[in-house]
Amino acid sequence: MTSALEAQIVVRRGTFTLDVDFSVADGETIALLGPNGAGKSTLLAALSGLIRPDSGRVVVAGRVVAQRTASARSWVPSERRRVGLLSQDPLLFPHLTAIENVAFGPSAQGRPRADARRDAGEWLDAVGLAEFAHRKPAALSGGQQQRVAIARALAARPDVLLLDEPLAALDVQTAEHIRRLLSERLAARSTTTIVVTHDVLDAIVLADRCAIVNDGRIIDDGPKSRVLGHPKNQFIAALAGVNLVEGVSDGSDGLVRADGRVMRGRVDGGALASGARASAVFTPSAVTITPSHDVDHAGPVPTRPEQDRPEHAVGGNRWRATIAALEPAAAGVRIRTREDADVVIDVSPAAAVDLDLRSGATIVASVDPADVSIRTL
Amino acid sequence: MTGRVPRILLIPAAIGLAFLILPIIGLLFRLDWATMPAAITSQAARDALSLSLRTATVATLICIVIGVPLALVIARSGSRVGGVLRAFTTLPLVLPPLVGGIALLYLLGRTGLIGASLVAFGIEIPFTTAAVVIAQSFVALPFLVISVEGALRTSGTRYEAVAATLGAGRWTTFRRVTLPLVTPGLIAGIVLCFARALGEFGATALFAGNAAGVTRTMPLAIYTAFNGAGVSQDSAIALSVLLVIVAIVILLLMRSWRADVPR
Repeated sequence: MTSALEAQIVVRRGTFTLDVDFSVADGETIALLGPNGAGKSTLLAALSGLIRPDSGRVVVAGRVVAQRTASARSWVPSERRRVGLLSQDPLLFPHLTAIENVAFGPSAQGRPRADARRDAGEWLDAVGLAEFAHRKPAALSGGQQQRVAIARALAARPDVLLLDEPLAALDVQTAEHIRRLLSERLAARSTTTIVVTHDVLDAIVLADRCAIVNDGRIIDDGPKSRVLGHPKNQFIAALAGVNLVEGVSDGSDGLVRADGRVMRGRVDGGALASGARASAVFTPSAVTITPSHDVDHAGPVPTRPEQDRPEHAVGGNRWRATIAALEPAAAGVRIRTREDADVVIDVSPAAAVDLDLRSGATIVASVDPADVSIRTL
Repeated sequence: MTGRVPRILLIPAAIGLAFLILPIIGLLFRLDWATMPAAITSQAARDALSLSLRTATVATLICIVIGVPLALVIARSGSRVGGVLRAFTTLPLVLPPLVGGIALLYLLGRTGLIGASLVAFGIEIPFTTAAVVIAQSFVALPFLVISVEGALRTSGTRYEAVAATLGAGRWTTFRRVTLPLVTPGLIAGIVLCFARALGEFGATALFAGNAAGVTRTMPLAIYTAFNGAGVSQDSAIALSVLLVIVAIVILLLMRSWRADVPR
């Protein structure tokens, strides 16, 4: 497979340094996931030609568009790179109608006016806005504007399309529509795409591959199922919104943690040797909780690892914890406990009310081994 | 009235408004309506008005051609370079027009820096209609540049960056994105520029003189009439009112024009 884009660049901005090396295959969609300030937008600006890298090179569809090495220097301006850019702000030209906005790219590239208009009409139709063709952007809703912006970016037929937090400015429902539209449109033309986002959902829906960017560097890069499904470290786990517990394998389906507790789960990606470094991953909502006094009736909760594993015994998959903090979460309420800094628990608002959760209360948390994925680190 | 204005401020506001309007009203009171038609249709008045409109139009066109690019350069320069350029641009704005006229004379006059070389080619600028246009352009250019530059800085470079990623070169981007986005600022600038050119007196008087039909624009005709050189003060007042009417028409034109500007 040929590469639609290869980038190996260093950009310095004051004390911040962006230093990345990656490539995107033809027709592939890669998500660059990272927190704000990780250098994602700087990277896109360098790829689209809005800023010059301090060193390295960028190759788009086999053409060197930026090069700055000891032996060679070259520079192709934005307008001749065929690299499209769509950001969270649609930035539709306010003096042009929707169809004129979409026709802008083709006509700027020298296509005859009538051709460009017809093409633009088709693209507007593809994003479901044919009847709004002659409206000015100000007369369109935020979601409609973003759809026009998508049509405009695609109508320019870029070799590589850069999406910079394309859904960040939209409400949840509109974002969902646009996300689906984007994934359809990108697939329909098999457009090579780089999505920059801090929203793991964008990465899951839009991308084939996922790279994690932090502090100017790519710290993980691979299939999204592996990068997000089984994060390499706590940082990525937090981004992906999952719990990551580290330890060593017991040689079977158990993960022995530093404090000796054994968490059981399904072993993914091949059997593990006893003593091999491994991690267990489970979602915050896979954890169920009961108030501690309910459990007291059922018997004492051992804090030592159990050896015999009865079905509902208490141990690595079932532990007593003290609530340290309650936070709002997408699913309802997020619980942090004093005992485990690396584990968060999400419960529904209804459950939170029923259980009368508050800081300092003792609970018993449990997670079904079927919901826990164990894999080598 | 929307919004809340402290009541005490209404008094100075009213004084300010009266200060601007009362002189015009005073002018109208002093106007001799009987002789006014004759005064403003006299050959001298028509020559002066025609010369004023023609020179101010040419001066405005010159200001657009050189002022818009200058505004773009200032707006897209770094803050330090931009600041220096802006200061130079606003110089004629704070300079007394008389000083501007003298400066132009010493640049383009027979013995001037450039004028001396022009004489060798048989070109003499001072005391010609061209000198009027140059003097008007000199004093009016800052109005256009400041207005357009402000609009350019407000609209920023983000739309231009989008245009570039869509494959538009610099010229296409300028023509199809940058210019349309600053249209309101450009129109305001053109109107201010034209009005300033139309009212220009000091620099014109020194650099172009006061030759009837050649360099005697409306302001100079009014001055000449007021000083009683052959014409009565009444005709000075009549010409003044005519100039006021022209100015009001320009302002009204600007308003109706701006209503068409995309929201």
